[in-house]
Amino acid sequence: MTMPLFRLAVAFLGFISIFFLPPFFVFLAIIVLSVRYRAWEVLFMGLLMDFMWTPGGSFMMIFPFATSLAIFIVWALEPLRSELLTR
Amino acid sequence: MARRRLLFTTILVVFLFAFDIISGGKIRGIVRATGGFIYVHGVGMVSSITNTGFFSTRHALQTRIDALSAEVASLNQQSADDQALKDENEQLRALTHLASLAEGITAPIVSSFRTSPYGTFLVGAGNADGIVSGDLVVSPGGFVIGTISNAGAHTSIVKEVFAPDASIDAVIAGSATLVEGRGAGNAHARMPHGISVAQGGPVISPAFRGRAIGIVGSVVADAASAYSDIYIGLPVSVESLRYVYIEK
Repeated sequence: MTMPLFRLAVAFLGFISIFFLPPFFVFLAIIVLSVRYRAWEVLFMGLLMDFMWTPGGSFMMIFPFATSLAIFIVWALEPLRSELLTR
Repeated sequence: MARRRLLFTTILVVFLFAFDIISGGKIRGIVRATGGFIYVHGVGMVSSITNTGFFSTRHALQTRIDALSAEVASLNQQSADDQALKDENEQLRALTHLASLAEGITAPIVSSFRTSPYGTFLVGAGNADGIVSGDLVVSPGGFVIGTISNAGAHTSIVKEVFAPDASIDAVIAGSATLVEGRGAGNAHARMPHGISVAQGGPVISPAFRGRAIGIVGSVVADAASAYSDIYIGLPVSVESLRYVYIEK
């Protein structure tokens, strides 16, 4: 139930990156966490990123690309995690 | 168990996004206000730590580089301002009416320019200050750097003119062309060889009330092509801006 320190640290860096660092760092955190864990927190990273930065206005301007990408990555990697990892 | 938790979170995230849309952006308003607060205080905290002297050698060098960069940028901006003013004066002479000064307010920038994947940034003014979507965001040098895309109560999101993948109709050296944004205040355009484009010349956009949106940084002519590549930038680094003028 408790989160490993590595997972906590990467998640923390990912969330901080949303406000201070280029988006590359957030996506890196999302990928790293998704490869190793069923990381529900990456979905909040994507959502927070979209809430912070989407321009608003037309459909394409509010479409949550970061959230969609996070959902895609975390679920697309599920078979890999199930196959290779014990938890 | 973990898989069920992930599924639940996915549903929750979709629900939160839908709720935000239905509520007219209530959640994102709160998130942006909080994000602006975190950024301003986070930067202040880092600045306090670096000013303690712990990183004095590196800090001193960086300060010197920043000062010199700011001086170069200031001179570039002054030169571009002069050119833009000359062009503007010529146009004004041809007109019979005088343009009045635009109404607006000065607002602080409360986010970094490089964190958004959408080419946006936050300013510390919103509906409460009379800001509405579509207002122009102008640099201290008079260049339009963006438009208000979504105004919250006290913070607004600005879409950069030169956001990645943005296309803007512009006029360079008297000829109309399409300028493509590259992010961080940079853009690219292509023009036929026959048109003489001078480095440092202003780039005007009719889409932004005929205001200057940048200057020509460099012109690369390829003999094998009928077009020249025009690289456009702002005369001042967007990262160095602290305040902008929001023109109504």
